Amino acid sequence: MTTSALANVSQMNALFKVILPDGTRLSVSADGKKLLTEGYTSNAGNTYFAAISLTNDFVIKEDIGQGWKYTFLNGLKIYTRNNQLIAERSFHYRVYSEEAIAHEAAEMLTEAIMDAAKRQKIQVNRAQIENEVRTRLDATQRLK
Amino acid sequence: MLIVQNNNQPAVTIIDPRGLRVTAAAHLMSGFTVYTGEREIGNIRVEEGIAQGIGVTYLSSLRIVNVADNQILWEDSFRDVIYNCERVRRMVGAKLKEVFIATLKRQNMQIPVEQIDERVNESLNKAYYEQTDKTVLKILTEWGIEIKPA
Repeated sequence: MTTSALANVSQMNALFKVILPDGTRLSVSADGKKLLTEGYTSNAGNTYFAAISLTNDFVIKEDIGQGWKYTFLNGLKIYTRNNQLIAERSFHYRVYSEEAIAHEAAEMLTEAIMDAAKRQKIQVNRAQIENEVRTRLDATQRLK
Repeated sequence: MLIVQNNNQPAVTIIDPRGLRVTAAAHLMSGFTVYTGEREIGNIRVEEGIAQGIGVTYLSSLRIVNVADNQILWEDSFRDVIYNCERVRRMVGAKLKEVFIATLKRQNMQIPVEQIDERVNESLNKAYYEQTDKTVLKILTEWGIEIKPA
């Protein structure tokens, strides 16, 4: 893994304790963009695992179900780099694709920020938020 | 953070990223980590039971308790319900309102529904989202986004 992406090992360990069951084994994907957990295969033959990608500001955890015909995106969670869960969403029968993840992550993060602004009774420019979210989510760090 | 050790298994560290105060936990042979956590909402305590897997997190139980006398106001267990903060907040809100309204009805008292609604929502938003909101405000400041009072 690159030094820049995982420079602070203790910070990453603290993060993984929050977002994964203790002792989960990780590997790096072939394209070097994501960390992959070990999988669990059900009696029906479907394999469930998670993929984690890092940006400068966020950690995105994808819950994935791989069946015999399709691979499904079952859930998305977005954390800050100091382990705070900001947005989460689960899906049913959503076919996995990088485009789906990019779209959903941007929408979830924008909605999370807008909802927080509403609860705190503050006004923010939605277009500005959307723009900023898209730019920052695009900056995925390479892990190898 | 809670560290749990049982049955000669390695110690398990539980940190809930949604602000729950974790009170008990166990690491199952199936690979799931099950734990309970609490949220205090004024005189009410909400206890959530969670089963965390690699690719999924389930809500397994919910309990609403009166803090003063530990009386259980409502509880239920669930199967195949995926954990989601907002879903749980809404369930707790709906049940709390039900309990309050039913109590007032039994006592033949007036029921200020809107007031109950507002107060419950305000308390639950604080309990479930206070930390998230602080983090979001920090993010907005770091990004240089202009913030104005609504």
